[in-house]
Amino acid sequence: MPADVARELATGTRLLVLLVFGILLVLAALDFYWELQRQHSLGHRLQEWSRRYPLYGIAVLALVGALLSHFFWQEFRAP
Amino acid sequence: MVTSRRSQDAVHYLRLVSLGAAIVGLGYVWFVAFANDAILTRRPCAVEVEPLPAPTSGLFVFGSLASFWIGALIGRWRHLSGLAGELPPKRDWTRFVVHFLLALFFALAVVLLAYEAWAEWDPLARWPITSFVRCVGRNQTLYALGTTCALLFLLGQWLWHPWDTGNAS
Repeated sequence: MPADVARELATGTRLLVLLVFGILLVLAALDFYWELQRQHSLGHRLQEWSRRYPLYGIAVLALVGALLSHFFWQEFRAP
Repeated sequence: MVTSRRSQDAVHYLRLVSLGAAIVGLGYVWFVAFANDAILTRRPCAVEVEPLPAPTSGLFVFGSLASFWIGALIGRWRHLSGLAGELPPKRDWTRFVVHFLLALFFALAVVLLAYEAWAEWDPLARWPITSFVRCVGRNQTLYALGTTCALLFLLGQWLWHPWDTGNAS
């Protein structure tokens, strides 16, 4: 692989992982902390938000599903 | 609602173990991306890369669905066990942190989707995010599968947690 292509691939993937997983890791750590203390879970707290804006909650799930199938799905093809 | 002490303890420890495993797994991937980018380019990958062929692609999609469902089931069990159900909603710093992180996450999603649309306009000029994800799927298939399942497991716990009307405030 040419060096400039490899650099672009590595930089883009790295940024994506660091940003997206960074936020999710903090959220997961908070949820773990609350579970340790037997407090309300993050899911319970998010419900406050998604109950107030149910269409946004549905939109987030639909977006995640659409992205997953876009990234990973490949239909069966005739050999 | 099943509110026995044993049910509460079981789901409490199950969540601690599963959340801990997800944090360790995602943290490891985060650390590798931070410290060792060579692992991402071990094998050649092009911008027009296709998704992994079937049946591996099916593993990603159905594995994600199964992980989401398991996460949702555990979240539902916690809710039904009544764990922390007697506590009033907190109005402390945690409320602000969750709000801030959610806002940050959605802002990031907007930026990333805008970039994706811009990049897809001319994929030969710049890499769409799809290509980055597909290249990781091809170069590090097992890690990508595990990470996707861990993410969907967390989202299942957080986003799919039906709240019965008895608890509605």
